[in-house]
Amino acid sequence: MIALAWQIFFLAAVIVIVRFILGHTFADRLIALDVLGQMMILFFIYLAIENSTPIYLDIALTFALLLFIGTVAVSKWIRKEGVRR
Amino acid sequence: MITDILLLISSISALLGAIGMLRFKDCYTRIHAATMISVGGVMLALVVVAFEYFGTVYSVKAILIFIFFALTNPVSSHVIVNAAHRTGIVPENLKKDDLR
Amino acid sequence: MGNLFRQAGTFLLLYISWILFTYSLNFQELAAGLVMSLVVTYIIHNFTDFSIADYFFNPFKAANFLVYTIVFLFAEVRSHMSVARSVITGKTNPAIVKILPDFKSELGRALLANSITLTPGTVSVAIDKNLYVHCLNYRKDEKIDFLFTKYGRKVFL
Repeated sequence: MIALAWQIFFLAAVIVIVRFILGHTFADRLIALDVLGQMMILFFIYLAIENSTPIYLDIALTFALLLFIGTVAVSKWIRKEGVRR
Repeated sequence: MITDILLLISSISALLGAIGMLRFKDCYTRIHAATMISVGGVMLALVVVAFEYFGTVYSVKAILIFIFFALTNPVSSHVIVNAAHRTGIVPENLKKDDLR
Repeated sequence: MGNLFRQAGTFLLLYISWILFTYSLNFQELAAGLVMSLVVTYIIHNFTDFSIADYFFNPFKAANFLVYTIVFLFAEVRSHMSVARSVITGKTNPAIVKILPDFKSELGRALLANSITLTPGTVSVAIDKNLYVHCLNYRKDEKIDFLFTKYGRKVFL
């Protein structure tokens, strides 16, 4: 069952990358970048379930922390500067 | 058995969110699909980890990541949408607009 | 300085979560956690006039919070179904709706906006005194904030 979950997950990640390339305002790209980071977290959680070595959860936690800080910093900067595209 | 079904539901939910991000028209509706990925994908997978290693260190760690994710994910989503609205991206074909 | 003593619950919460993350009772871990929790609590007390930990160590509020969590879980599943249907059919009906939460505390309004944003289908766009929510499937007869304000009033007020 985990193999099928891996395949569906990689299809979803490819679709999000397509959105990141296509998106024409900054908000679309920022949302796609945020979602790509969350898919990275999902990748590590699936790896933890598949290999039965849950040490990957530490990596997932660190990634979630850095992702939150990065997204808030970038979007506060854009809100202050008023960059359109 | 139940963890396998939950795992499959989480990956299908991530796929539906990604298709929604591709199909919807403007960034205000796309962020609903992004919320669907983060809640239905990541948080459900964390619940799967907490069930599978129940009672060990790692289930405690998974529950802590769950709480952290539930507290921080709406903040980043709200900050993106607020910046988009502040810089003047107008939402398309609204039925009703109180913020004007 | 008086505010610093009000943050004792915050310090306790930080220390407990440190112990849970490291998951060992070694002396060095405990000492490092004590120092870090004290520093973080001292930084926090300049910015806040409330304590998050009041909600966790009060049994009445904790029981109400449990009820709120169960209600929130059902709303979550229902709105997941709604957004999935909207993705497959491609029909959307967006609107921006104003909500007057009339909660007195800042923490209550922040947590209400948090739980509104965490359900897919509704995202909070701006907050001044009111709360402006962009929702995906807008219907005239349905009040989207009904469940959250009704049960959240018992917890967050």
